[in-house]
Amino acid sequence: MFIVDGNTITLSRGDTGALEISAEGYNFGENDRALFSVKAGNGTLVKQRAYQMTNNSFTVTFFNSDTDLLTPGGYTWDVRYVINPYYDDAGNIVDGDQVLTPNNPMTMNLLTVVGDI
Amino acid sequence: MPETDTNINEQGIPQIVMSVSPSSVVQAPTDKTLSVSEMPADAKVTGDAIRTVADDLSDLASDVSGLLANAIGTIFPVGAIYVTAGDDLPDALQQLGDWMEIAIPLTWGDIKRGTRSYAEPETGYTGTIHFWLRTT
Repeated sequence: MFIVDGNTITLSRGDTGALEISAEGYNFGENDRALFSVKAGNGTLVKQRAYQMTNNSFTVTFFNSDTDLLTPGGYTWDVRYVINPYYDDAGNIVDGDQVLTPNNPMTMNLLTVVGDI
Repeated sequence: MPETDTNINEQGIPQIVMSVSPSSVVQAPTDKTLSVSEMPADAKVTGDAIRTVADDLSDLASDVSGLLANAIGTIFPVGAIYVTAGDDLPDALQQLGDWMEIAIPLTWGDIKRGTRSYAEPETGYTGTIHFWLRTT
């Protein structure tokens, strides 16, 4: 099961799915990035990736390995747009000309499953 | 690329409205263990594995080179003599240390003075035998 209802993502543990995230209000360039992050209730970062946008949109894909080992329950996610990001030596975004977070943390429900893959 | 209307406030900060929708674009999952048949291998894991193998091969080549140098050093310790008809000492021996060259010109008459007799070649023989004594 992989359902996107408004800004709430609901998926069964280990399921594959994708969602498209679009932005309006600014024309992002090829250097700009959208940082998609998912955190557990205790604040542990479980998924984070920087995406380049095409026509102000990007697609987040969940693979089996992204959630297969996670504990079912409530998680939060958000997107932070970074204009002209700055990188550290490891290639991680550490700052930018502007960092924009359009939404409060949103909900991701990870459902339990019976069969293990 | 189509552009959207920009919405930038008085402080110069873009006011972004984000929307989320399901996507039918599901990329094929990749195998990060490089052990599952009929699944595409994860690019990063594959690249890391190749780099590891390359590093291992480089280490192995270095080890083999060191072993070879030690073996040659065992065969030709200080005081050993290497004999050659040419006047070049192989690089592998030169790297062991210092060598002293003793070049001895020879003619067929010199060879005939040995204890065994050989048929004299039609063209005769002259040449130089090089003795290399390892001194350090």
